[in-house]
Amino acid sequence: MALKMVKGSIDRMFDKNLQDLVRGIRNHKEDEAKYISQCIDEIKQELKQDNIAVKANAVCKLTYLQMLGYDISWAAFNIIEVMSASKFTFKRIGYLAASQCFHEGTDVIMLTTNQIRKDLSSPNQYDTGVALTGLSCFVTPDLARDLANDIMTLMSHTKPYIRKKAVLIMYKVFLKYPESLRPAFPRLKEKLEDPDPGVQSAAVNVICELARRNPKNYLSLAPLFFKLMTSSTNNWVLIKIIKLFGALTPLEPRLGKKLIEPLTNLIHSTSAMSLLYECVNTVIAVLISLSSGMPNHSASIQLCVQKLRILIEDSDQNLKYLGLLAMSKILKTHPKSVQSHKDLILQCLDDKDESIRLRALDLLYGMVSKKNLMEIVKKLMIHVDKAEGTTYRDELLTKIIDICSQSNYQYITNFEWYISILVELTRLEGTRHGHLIAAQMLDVAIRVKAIRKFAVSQMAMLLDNAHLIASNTQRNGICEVLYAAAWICGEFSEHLQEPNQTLEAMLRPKVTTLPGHIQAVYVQNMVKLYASILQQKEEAGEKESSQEITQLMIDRLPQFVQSADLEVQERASCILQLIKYIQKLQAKEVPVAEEVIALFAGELNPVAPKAQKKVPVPEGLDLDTWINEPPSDSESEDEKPKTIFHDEEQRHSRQRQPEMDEEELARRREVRKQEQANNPFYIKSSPSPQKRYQDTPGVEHIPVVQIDLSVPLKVPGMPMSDQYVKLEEERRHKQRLEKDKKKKKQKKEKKGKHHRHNSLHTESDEDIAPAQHVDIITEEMPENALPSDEDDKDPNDPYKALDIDLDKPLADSEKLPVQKHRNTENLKSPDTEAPLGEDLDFWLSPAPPPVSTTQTQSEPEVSTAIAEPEDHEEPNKEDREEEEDDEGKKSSKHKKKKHKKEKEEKSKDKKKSKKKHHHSEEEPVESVQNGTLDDEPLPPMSSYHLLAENPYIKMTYDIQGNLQNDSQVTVSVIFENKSTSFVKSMELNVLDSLNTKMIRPEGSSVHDGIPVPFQLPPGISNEAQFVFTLQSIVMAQKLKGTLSFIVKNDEGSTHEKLDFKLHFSCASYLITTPCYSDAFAKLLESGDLHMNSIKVDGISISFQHLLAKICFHHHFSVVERVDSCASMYSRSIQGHHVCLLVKKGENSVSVDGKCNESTLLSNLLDEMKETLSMC
Amino acid sequence: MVNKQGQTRLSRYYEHVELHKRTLLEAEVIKNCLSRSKYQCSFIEYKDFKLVYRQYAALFIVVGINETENEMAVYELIHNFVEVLDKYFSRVSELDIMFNLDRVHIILDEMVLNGCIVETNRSRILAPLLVLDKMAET
Repeated sequence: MALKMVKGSIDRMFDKNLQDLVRGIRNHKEDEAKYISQCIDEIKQELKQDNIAVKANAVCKLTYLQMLGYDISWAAFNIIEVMSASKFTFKRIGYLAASQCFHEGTDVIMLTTNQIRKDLSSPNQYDTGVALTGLSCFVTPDLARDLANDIMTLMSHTKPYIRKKAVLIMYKVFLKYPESLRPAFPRLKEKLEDPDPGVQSAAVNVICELARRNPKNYLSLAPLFFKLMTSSTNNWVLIKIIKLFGALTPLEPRLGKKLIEPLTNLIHSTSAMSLLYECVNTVIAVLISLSSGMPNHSASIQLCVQKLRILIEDSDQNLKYLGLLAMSKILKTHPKSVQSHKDLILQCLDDKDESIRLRALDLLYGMVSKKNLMEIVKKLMIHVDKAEGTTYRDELLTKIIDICSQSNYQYITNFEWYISILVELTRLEGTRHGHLIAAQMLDVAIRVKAIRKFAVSQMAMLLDNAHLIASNTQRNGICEVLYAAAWICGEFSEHLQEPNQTLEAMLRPKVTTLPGHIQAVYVQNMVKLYASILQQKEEAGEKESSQEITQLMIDRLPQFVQSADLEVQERASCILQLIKYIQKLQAKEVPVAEEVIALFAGELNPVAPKAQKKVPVPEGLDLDTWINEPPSDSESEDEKPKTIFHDEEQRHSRQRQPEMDEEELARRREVRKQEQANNPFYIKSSPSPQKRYQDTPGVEHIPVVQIDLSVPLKVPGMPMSDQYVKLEEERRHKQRLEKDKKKKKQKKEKKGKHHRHNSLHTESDEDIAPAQHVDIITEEMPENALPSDEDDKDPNDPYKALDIDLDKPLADSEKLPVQKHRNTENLKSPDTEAPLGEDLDFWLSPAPPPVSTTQTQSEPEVSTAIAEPEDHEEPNKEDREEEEDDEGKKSSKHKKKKHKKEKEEKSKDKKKSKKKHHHSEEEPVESVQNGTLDDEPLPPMSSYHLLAENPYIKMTYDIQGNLQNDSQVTVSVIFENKSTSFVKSMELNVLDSLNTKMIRPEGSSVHDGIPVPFQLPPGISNEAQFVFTLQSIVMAQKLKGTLSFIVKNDEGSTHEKLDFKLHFSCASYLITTPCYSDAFAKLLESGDLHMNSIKVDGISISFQHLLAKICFHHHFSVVERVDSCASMYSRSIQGHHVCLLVKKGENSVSVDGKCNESTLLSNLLDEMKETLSMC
Repeated sequence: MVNKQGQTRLSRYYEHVELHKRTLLEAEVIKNCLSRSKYQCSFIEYKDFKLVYRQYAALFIVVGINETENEMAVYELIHNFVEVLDKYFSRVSELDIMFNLDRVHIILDEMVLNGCIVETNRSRILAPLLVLDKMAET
């Protein structure tokens, strides 16, 4: 044995170690592969030896080779051997190799389970550490399940070194074994407050990652994270927390409001760029999530934009890049604030770095306006000319098209200019985006009727110069534009100046070198062209030239008949026969033009790109059933029936609409209009919302608009878009002058001063009238088109499994599997979670006015304070259950809780009501505590009332007065999705009354609804707030309203509506305001208050309970209480004081009220009577 | 970690990638990095993720991140990593990394676990490694 050992170590001396291997590889540069294969052979020999040191050395070398790209999976078993070495130096080599090359498919991995468990529980912290590190790389679902409990135990290890690693590994375990999340979560949460900052940061990391995927389950942690954020100084941790908040705010707008202040503070104070960047990002996310009803965040936006400007102006390219990236996020919601930095962004277009230029391009998209579009595109065109790389140039090209075509060509004032730009773009060599340009040409020519004439002339020119475009290479993408050119010239041939010349161009032999699909379009359109020429000639009575043109066709068409492309061949031979027939007729001097032109009569309407997809399947049609029974397999192959739709030729994308009778058309249009009006996604068509259709079929139904061209149509040679820029300038200048003149006149009439200011042209977009009066035709959609088709989430998303409600208490079945021999140290069942959702609501609700001292606590403290009443709640609940279960038997548990039991007996009479309320929305009781001195528990009350309900959705609402504004109240509506479908695109609208109006975002009319800023997955509820203005608050009000929404499930989506009545009670105009007794007395003495009183009989509840009810439902606070008599106070949002004296008799309650507005008082008392009589 | 010749000196994957794809990926990534000049920013959009790189003499350190990650933080982390290497090897060179691959891995594992940053304190990162070196000596 000893000898063997000696032999082993002698062997080792001759073995290569890692250094030798590396050196060796460097010395064998020429025959590296050979040298390495030789080394691998040596390693294989070494691995066969018993000496663990030799094996470890071999594995170490293998790890290096693996990095170079050599497969070492054959050594998996040896790696496990080395992993199980007792010496740490070897063990770590084994784990390193394993972490580099093991993966889920490695089959020997299951052999490691026990070894890893042993290492995890090793007394040496580094053994445990290395096992954890390794595990993070190769954990499988099986390993995760078997080891979850061990790792969870390690999360509470004494050494922070182990704790932090264990916490981080848990993330991987959750991913592989989602069932472990719920049992482990309480402990993970505990780690957020670990004394060691490293562990803390690890926990933040894990929760941040989890929350990014399924944010809604982590909302309840927001208060805790908020505390961490305001206390932590570690920038890495701060970044993570802030990122986490960025994921949470879209779900909870109130959270955003709370965050703005600390975030802006951080932005001001931090010197770390990464942190600054993260803060800005989250502030942006917050601002996006805040609904438009919340004003006054322009300051934060301004701050962000300013900071970003500093980043962009920095000489560090990295900062510049990030600045632009963040800027583009702001652009989406606040384009105005970004637009003011146009200069800077245009400057970035000239940057040396391509990535920066690309980012700047993204921004340009949002910066254009009618005013600057031409200028910006001109600049881009210069870049296109200068760009050296094709990728960048292609990017520029797509951006130009994107910018110009955005929102239905909203910013284009001069379409001739745009066509010229497109034509100029065709001169790009080697671009891949020919089809894009072609699509734009077609789209513009079809939809902008006024431009057709010009477009046709340009396209004819392109066809004429086709040799320039198609000459370069076969696969040149740009020749796609000829497709568009040929089609436009054919379809709108009536606009052609010299149709003969164009036809000639289309018949050139060179055309046959174009790709097949383009030739096919050529063939089809030359007939259209031919037809219109024929008509012209016949009308003019030029018989000869019409025969000439027929002869030309007959001469040239055969070159297409010989085409290798089937489509071209088929079309060409059909047409050739047709024309031969025409020739015969012409010979007989029969007029044919009318009939030929009739072949192509009718207008082609643009069809929306998704129209086909959106045609609903008619009722009763099942596409999956067989029309004929499928043939049995025994049938021979060639007898198989052909599939029915197979033979139909590939349809042209712009298919001719089948002619429909007049009535049908009109009806469909009506339906469609309705649909469009109701569809929030529908982009309203054109800058000039003229009648889109008249109810006559055929060509006439597209209104022909008078063209008012200020540019001469005949532009010699290729057009230069620059001309248009100049012309446009002139035109605008003229417009301005006219306007100035008018203004001057007005001024002169007044005084004639300040006339200089007018020449500083600060024209806005609206001032620029488009050069042509343009009517953009909307794309057609099938009737009953389904309004939306969002992509569904990827069903294979590994994070989906982690979408688990973490606030539910643990069930026994969910505990982690524990190894049997370890049963002694039984896993402590994690504490049942308190219903944190309520805490969150409380934490998020705006802080009450700091009048009384008890309410001036800082926020994080409040959140901890809330935990107390729940402690009362929990045992009570348990006791109650026990009592019900076994009334007679007093369990030992029962005795232990005797003191609690006693307390409970006091409130026995309330048990029932409590039970009833148990599942309803519970509102923290603290809000009424300011007057209650007894610790008698109060039943949970909810201030949320049912608004409306249907099988899909339940709405409950609460109205709160606004402290800052004396004529506003905020209505919080909780939307609860009761169905199993996805509810989205909710939009809430009310019918404003003279007195009460909903505040809508700027620019929307009173008939527009307000979109609810979230969607609801099944079973989820969320809250949205809407602000209303009121003039008079002395009376209760009712508003009718509707919630419209889309229900989406497997079957499809349906539009639903839910009507409701919003009841503004007088109490909702009151704000709970504490009042000191001396101030109260003075108020009563002042004598300018009106008085009123009510009396209610048959009250059975305690006085305490009664006061709580008044406090809670009617927003009063108790000023003083003596025995069964109490004085109460509240204030309305418009400053009316309301004082009450509540006295309780045997079975009755009397309320005396005083207020400086008598109507308000009597209404309030009426409401109170109603509440009290329900007691 | 790749040198100017495109040879990988250290690679670490936090999500499993097949071996042959790794080599391809590494080659493409380094090609991307090498094609950039000093005046260009250190972030490259590559497929559906982002590359953050930093150059130290002939060595490139490249980190692939998804779009939710903070680019600047990763950029700073790279420097932190190099500082730790510098401290351990006292003026680190490419050769140090090649010959002590396992040690560099330990350092990296101490700093980044599971794709998350664990530790950024230099002495705490090096503590386990120093213990190890002591063990090896005895």
